Amino acid sequence: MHAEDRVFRAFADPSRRAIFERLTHGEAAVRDLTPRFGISQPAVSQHLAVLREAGLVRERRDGRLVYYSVEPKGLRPLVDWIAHYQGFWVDRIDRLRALLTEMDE
Amino acid sequence: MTTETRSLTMEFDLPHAPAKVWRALTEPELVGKWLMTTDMKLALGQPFTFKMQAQPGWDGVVHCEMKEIEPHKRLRYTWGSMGLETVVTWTLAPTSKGGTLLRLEQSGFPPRQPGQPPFFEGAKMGWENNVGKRMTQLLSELA
Repeated sequence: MHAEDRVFRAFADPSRRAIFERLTHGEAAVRDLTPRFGISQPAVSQHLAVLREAGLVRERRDGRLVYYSVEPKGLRPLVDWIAHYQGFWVDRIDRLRALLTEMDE
Repeated sequence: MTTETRSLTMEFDLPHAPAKVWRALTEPELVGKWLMTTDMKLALGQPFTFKMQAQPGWDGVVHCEMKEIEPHKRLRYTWGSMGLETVVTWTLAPTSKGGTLLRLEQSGFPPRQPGQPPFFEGAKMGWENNVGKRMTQLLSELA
């Protein structure tokens, strides 16, 4: 399965989208997530596993607890690279123009 | 799945002579003022980097290798960043007014996957508004 497919599949489920959205506000452990979504702890763990396999979420162990947070790199398959670089270069060429003018002085 | 890649082409009409534009594209102190801090050297096959402040999801480093140097005319190097390697080509052509037509081509972008939306938008994924906003923000942090 391609990275894109894994990401889209992970986001196909509303509960997983909600969990991911919660994690964009900061890391959380399973027990922090369970009461909020009204689903069982094993179900939350299962969703987190799918998100982690899609590269969207990373985990950090602290003693007996595991904390989950968003892995921004995981969103890369969704980035439109051309649009991204178009904006980047337009901005940089503006700076190049300013520099060329300065070089005259 | 197709292996065909995509490219980005942009042209800029600059009121400065090619020799001067060339300096701004190749002298590290000048490049650092408009693009990014660099240790670029005008030597074929020479690896070099561009660096800027690290951001969430990106270490701020672009890994490059010099591929083509034709003074005042053409400069080409690879551009490896965020797990994607592309090729950047600058072409300089003198204009009748004594300026430069600067052409930028960046090639080697991955082909779009079938069924993949043209650009990530929360609405298309059926996300609530605020989720889409957070995602867009995260994506921009990658830039």
